Order: sequence, then C-alpha cells, then structure tokens
Amino acid sequence: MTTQSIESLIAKETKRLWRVALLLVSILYLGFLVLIWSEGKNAAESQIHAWLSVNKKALQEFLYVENSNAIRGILGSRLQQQTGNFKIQDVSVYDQSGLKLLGDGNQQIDLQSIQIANNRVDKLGFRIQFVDVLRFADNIQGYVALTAIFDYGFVIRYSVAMSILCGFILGLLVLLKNQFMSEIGTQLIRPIIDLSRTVGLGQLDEIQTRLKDNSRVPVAEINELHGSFRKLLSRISDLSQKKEDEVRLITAGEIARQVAHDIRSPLSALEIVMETSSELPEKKRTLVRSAVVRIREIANNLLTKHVDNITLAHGNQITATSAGGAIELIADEKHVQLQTRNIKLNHNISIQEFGYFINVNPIEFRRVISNLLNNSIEAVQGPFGKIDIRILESEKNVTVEIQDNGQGIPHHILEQLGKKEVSFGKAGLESGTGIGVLHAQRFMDQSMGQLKIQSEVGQGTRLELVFPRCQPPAWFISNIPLKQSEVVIVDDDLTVHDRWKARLAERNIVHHTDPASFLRWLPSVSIEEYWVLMDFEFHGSSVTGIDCLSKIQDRSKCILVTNNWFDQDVQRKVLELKIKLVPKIFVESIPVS
Amino acid sequence: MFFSLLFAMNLLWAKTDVAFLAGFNGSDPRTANEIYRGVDVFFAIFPDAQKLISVEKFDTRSQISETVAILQKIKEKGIKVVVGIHNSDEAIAVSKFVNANDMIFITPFSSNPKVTQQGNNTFRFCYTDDFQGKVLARVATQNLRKMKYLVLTNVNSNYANDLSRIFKSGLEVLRGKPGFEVKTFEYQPDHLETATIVNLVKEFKPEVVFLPDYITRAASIAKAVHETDKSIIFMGGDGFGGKTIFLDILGKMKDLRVYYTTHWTEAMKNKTNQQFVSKYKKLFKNDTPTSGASLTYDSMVGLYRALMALPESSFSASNLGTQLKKMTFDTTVGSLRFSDPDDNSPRKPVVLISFSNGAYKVEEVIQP
Repeated sequence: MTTQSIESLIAKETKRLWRVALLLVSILYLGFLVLIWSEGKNAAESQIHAWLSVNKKALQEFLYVENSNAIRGILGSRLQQQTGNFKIQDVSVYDQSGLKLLGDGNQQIDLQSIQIANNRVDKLGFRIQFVDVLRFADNIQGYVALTAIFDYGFVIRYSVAMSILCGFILGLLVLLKNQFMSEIGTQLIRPIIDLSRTVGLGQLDEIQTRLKDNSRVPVAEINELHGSFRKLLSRISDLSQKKEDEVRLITAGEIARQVAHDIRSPLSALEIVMETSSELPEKKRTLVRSAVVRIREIANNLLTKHVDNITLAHGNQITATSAGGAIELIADEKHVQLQTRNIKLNHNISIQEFGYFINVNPIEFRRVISNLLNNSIEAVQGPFGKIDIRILESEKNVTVEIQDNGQGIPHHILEQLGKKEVSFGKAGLESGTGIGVLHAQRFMDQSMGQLKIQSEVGQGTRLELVFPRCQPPAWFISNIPLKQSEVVIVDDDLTVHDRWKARLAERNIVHHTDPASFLRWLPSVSIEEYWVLMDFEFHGSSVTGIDCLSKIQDRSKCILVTNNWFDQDVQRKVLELKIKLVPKIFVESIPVS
Repeated sequence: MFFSLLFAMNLLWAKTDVAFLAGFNGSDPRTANEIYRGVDVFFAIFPDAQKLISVEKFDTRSQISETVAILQKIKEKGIKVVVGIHNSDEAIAVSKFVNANDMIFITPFSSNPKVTQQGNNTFRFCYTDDFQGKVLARVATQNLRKMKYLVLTNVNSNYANDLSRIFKSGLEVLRGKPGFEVKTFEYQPDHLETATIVNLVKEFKPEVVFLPDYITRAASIAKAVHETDKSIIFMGGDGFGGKTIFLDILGKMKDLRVYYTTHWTEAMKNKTNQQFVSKYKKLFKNDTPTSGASLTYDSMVGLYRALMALPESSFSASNLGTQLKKMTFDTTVGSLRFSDPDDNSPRKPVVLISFSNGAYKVEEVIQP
C-alpha cells in the first residue's frame, strides 16, 4: 500500500464527494426541469380544458352553421396564445370527414383514433395535441384540434436560472470545501506535522518541553496524541534512566568482580602462609584468620553484588525469598559502612525469621532494603544513632520494619514520598536522587505489598514494608532432626567445624575440610546413616559441595551449609537435587533435635 | 263542384303539419312576431288552407342549439315541413338538419347563400345576399360615390360575414382610384366594445360605415358612430328590417343618413301585394305591413300551392321539393320561380331604402 498524506487522502475523498455533489446537482437540475415541465403541462392542459369547456357550445354551433369567421374569432381572441409554459401552435377545425375547415398548421388528425376514443384524444409530451369532438344533433359534426408545443424559450429561461442556482450551489460547495481544507490544515494537519517534527527532535528534554508548549491543541484526538507522547516520553525517560543505572551497575559490578577475582590469589597465598605459619600465637592466628575470612566475605560480597547487578540488569524473576536472609545480607554490608560512623544497626535475625518467605524479586528486594537503610543511615546523626531492623510475621503477612532515630521527615515532604522523586537528606540538605522511597513504593506495588512511613521531625522515621506471606521453598529447613544419626561435616573453614562441634558435642562427627577427602571417604560408609553438612565453596578446589552431594543417592539428610545460600543458581540446584539449604550464619542457632 | 269537394276531402284526409320556427323570445322577437303575421294573413286570405295545412309555432330563442333541439322534436313528431327563421345562421342549421332528415325547409327571410347550399330540400322566398351585397356596393360606388369605407362585421354571424365579403368584393371596382380605402373591423357581439369602434372611426374617418347586422344590434353601433361623426353614411342589408321597425329603432336619429336594402315595399301596386296589404291592415288594425310578413305570406302561399298540386297520397319531402321547383308563384313583389337547378334561391328584386333628414323613402326597386 502506498503511503499518502492526510491532505492527499482528503483531496481524494473530496474529489469523490465532488463527483457525488455534481451528480446530485445534476439530478436536482433535471428534476426541477421535469417538475416545471410537468407543472406547465398540467397548467396548459387545465387551461385548454377550461377554454374548451367555455367555448365548446359556441364552437359546435358555429361549426354546425359553417361560420368559420366566428370560429376564427373565438380561436383568435378568446384562447390565450400563451397557455402556461406551452405555446399554442395551431388550432384547427375539421369537418366530420376530417377535412380541415380552419387552421393554418399542417396538423393531421388521426380520425381512427378519435372514433375509437369516441370523445377526446390527448397526446402529451413536448407537443400536446388536444382533439375534441364537436358532437351536435346526435351526429359528429367535426373536430377541433389544438396543438401546443413546449415553450423552449421558457426552457432556456429556466435553464439559465437553474444554471445560476446550480452554479451558486457549486460555488458555495467550493467555498465550503476550501474552508474545510483550510480548517483541516490548521486544526489537523499542521498540529500533526508540528508533532511529527517535535517528536523527531533528538533530545527528550526538548521534546517534552515542546510537547508541553503544544499541549493545547484544538483537536481532541491530537491533544490525546500529545498526552500519549508525553506518557511515552516519560516512560522512555524512566527506561533510559534505568538503563543508565543498569549500565552503571554493570560497570561497577564488572569492577567489583575483577577486584574479587584479583584479591583471591593474594588471599589464597595469605591463607597458605597462615596454614604453614605455626609460629604465630593462636590469638594472632585467629585474628589473622578472621581478617582473612572477613576479606573473603568482602570479596564474596563484591561478587554477590556483582551477581545482583547482573541479574538486576538482565532478569526480573520473582521467587520465594527469605526476608530475614536478605536483610541479614544487607545488614552485613552496612556494618562495614557504619564502622566509621557511630551508628548502631540492630538486626538479629533468627532461623525462624529466616523462614519468613515472600514472593519478590530477591535482588530488587535487597536493593530496596539497602536504599532504605541508606536513607536511614543518612538521616541518623549524633552519637546515639540507631537503626533497628525487625521482621514481624502474621498469618498472612510478613512485615519488614526499619526504624531509625534520625531527624525525621517534614510533613510536606512525607506526603510526597513515594509519589515523585523527592527525599529528605541528612542535616536537612537535599541528597541523592530521591528515588529510594519512590523505587520502594513501586516495588511494593509490584509485589502486592504496602509501604507505610511514619515519621516525626526530630524523633525519627519508621518504615513498614508489608508483604503477603508465601510458603517457604522446599530447600528450607527450620531445624535439623539429627535423632540417632551420625554427622559428617565438610567445610574448608575450620571455625565452622568448631562451631558445629560445639553444638553437636555428644555426637560422633566426621570432619572433612576438602571435597576430595570427602569423596574418598564416601564409598567406605553407609552414608544414609549420616547427616551430611556440606559447604558449597572450597578454597583451592573447583569441586563444589553440590558436586559432592550429587554423588549421594539418598539426599534426604544432606544439607548445604553455605554463605552463598542467596545465589539463585545454588538455590535452583539444591531444589533439583532435593537438598536442604542452611545459611552458614545459622550454624550456631539452627535448632538441632 | 263535385271534383272540388272531392279534392278538398282528399286534402282533409292528408293534412300537412307545418312547423313554424322563429325566435319569439330571442334576440329579435319583434321580427319573429312580424314574420308570423304572414301566416295569419295567409290563413285569412286562404281559409280553406287550414284543412290542408296545420301550423305549429316553435320558439328557437334565436339560438342554434335550441333550434336543433326543436328540430329533433319536430322530427320525432313526424313533421316534415319547416317554415320560418329570420336569422341566416339559424336557417343554415335548419337547412342542414332537414336535408339530413328528409324534411322540407322553406325560409321566407334568410338571404345567406349557405342556407340553400345545404341541399335540395331547402327553399327560400327572398333574394340572396349575393344579389343584395352587389346592389349595395353598386349604390355605394356609383350613386353615393364614396371612397373611404369602414366595414364592421359581426364575426359570429354568417349573414354579416358573407354580406361584408360580397359588399367588399363589389367595392373592388374602386381599387386603384385616389382616396379609396377599405378597413374591416370584426366584432364579437358577446364582447362588443363600442369604444373600440368609436376610436377606430376617429382614427380612420370613414365616409361610409357598412353595418351588415340585424337592426337591434346594429342600432347601438350606429348610434355610437353617428355621435362621433354625423357626416358618416350608414349602409346595411335586409337585417335593418322593414319601415316600422327601422323607424322605431334608427328613425329617431333625425340627422342619420342610411341606405339599406329590403325585400318588399307597400308601394308595389300588383294585385297580390294589394290583397296582402289590405288583409294585413284589416287583421292588425292598420299596422303598417312589413317585408317579413309579406315574405312569410309568399312562402305559405307557395307551400299551399305546391301541396295542392301534389298528386293524391304522394306527399313526401322530395315530392314537395320537386313540385316547388316546377311551379311559378305569384308573390307580393311579382312572379317567383326556382329556376336554378342547383340552388333553390329565386331571382327577386331588391328594394333600396334611404333614410335621410328623418325621411324614410323607397329609392329604387332593383330587378335582378
């Protein structure tokens, strides 16, 4: 299909309408002439009938006595020469044999038809032939024949008049058409072209400004189009901003991944030194080991963040997510941030609280919590800064509560929070982009949740994120029913062994610090009699804890105990293998029966 | 005597019904009544004729349609002989009817040539307009020697149309002579506007106005024209009637000059006329006899003679017509015979009347 402009389409339709108008005018023209003709014919007939009615007796008498002069006198003076729109062409009188007695024309009478009709013959058309039988003394004495022809002068006069009328109508139509086209150009085409040019501009800001300027256009549809464009531009702007954020995050993630990767080699070297350096006192060694662990955790955090960012950029999966677990992760991060500030972050999450699952995008959820914590951190000042994070549960909901004792938010700002990009920063200064609460609000909307903000200036702010509660995933376990079973612990972190050992003092525990050891040991025992507490990542080994557990047929007593519990890939694999999963932080608190 | 009685008895057994038609309540009732007086005079002179002829009067109201309607009734009654009619147009209608219905029509007074041209069953006992018109033209051109003529014609009247035509034809002898002019104005009596004629007279200034209409209608026109120009001479035909009616209608204008023709004059000295005048005056208390009555008398006498001459039980329209054409009749203006085999119009003298300075005068009796 060829593309055409509105103007050309309208012109095309106008031509079609023009043809219809011409046809209608022509029909009107012809119809009017037919009407006039018909009226004129009726008038002429009527007049001729009336004339004959009045003069018939005299004609009969004069014809009977052969007084042609008298007949001529009647015809000449009494019958008006102009009969309506018909002009009398000839009036003739014939005797009973059809012989013409009077009349100048060459008209012939069809006596046969007259005798058949036995009275009067009217032949109508552009020529009227009116024949009346003069009957006298029971005998037909003769005929008077009147011939009238249509007055062509009249036709011309009316044609001219009709032409003028039709011309006037057509002229009026032309004026209306021009006015219509002008209106269409002004009201429709011009705004569309302007809109097109505006949209064609490169800069979104400029487009938005122009659209605001052009928002008042008279055509509702175009006005609506402006509104749609504005919404579209707003959406594009949001997406563009989001894309920029994603790019920034990805870039940051790449750097973080690189840092995490690069730091592992020297960290491994440090760990080797640590293992071989028996001269260091236990306290110092523990400290160094703790530092190394911490550095590893930081590296892991960087990797986690990297994974989060990548996922954030490329995915938006909603899954059953542990609210407590996510908060624990974020809180660990924030501890590092708060080390230089005198702010206390309270976030004691138990295994029960870890078991409060909600259906959200976990990465987004962590991001929201992180942003909200950042807000609180920024809001808190002074030597007694405090941020409390709590998880509350009810039958249907899980509520994350973040409460700080910061400066609070003014009422007028509070009303706008979550509606547009606005924030209230520390020390009363504007800070950040202000999208934290807005993002949280959108996230809550998407998650079918509610965001409640209570704040009082000088007292602090309390945020409540209320989510619908969902069932925990199959990998979740709230306590380990050891019963009479023995336990095997596979972890490259000796402190983990120690902590388990402290909790399972009366149990017979088999310890492995690397997967190879475990895998060598595995065939020698009946593993169904053991609870396997397996780490995921082993230092210096490419074999993961999941690889090891996959070697076991009956994995009903297998638990992956790892700090990487939040990894989506890990969670997917433990579900596939029907393995339970426990975050390593709960080694000391998970109930064991 | 015996034969006469036997003859009379035969006639008694074969009495002929005659319908007498006239416009007794028409446009000119006076003339109608006048011509019927001829019937009365006839029966007064020939009382035995009542045994042979029975006359019934019918009023035509001077209308052709009424005349034809009466003829239908007459026909239904079985009457075969029609007498009367003093108007040429009615006479033409009657003539047409009787010739189509095997009847006989004898008109005493209708001079239009068309009357007898309708067939052999029509007879007239007066001269024709052909002769009358020629006489009038001759009087105008040779006696009066006038050059400017206005011919006023009642277009509805065959009598007027034909007499005008014949008169104008007679004027053609003046064609080419200095000052000769003829103008014709045709009027319809139903839409007569004398003002138009008066204006025409003022404009044309005629010396002679020829007015071939019946006297009652002609009088109003003549009066208007005369008041416009008193020098104008009026001429007309037998429609102006006899002396009595003329003097009653036009004779009151003393300074009027009129020349017209008529059929009869009391002044004629023949025996038949003397007998008619004497009986008329006796019957009608010394009224002046008229040409209409005399012509009717002549007609009735002619019919009577023809019926008497018909062989026994041989009456029919055609036989009566044949008998009429065979005979020579002694009339008030002399002997009469239908000598033309194609036209039952007799050759009769024209009486020229002048009226001037209030004097009514028979100027001349012109023989054909």
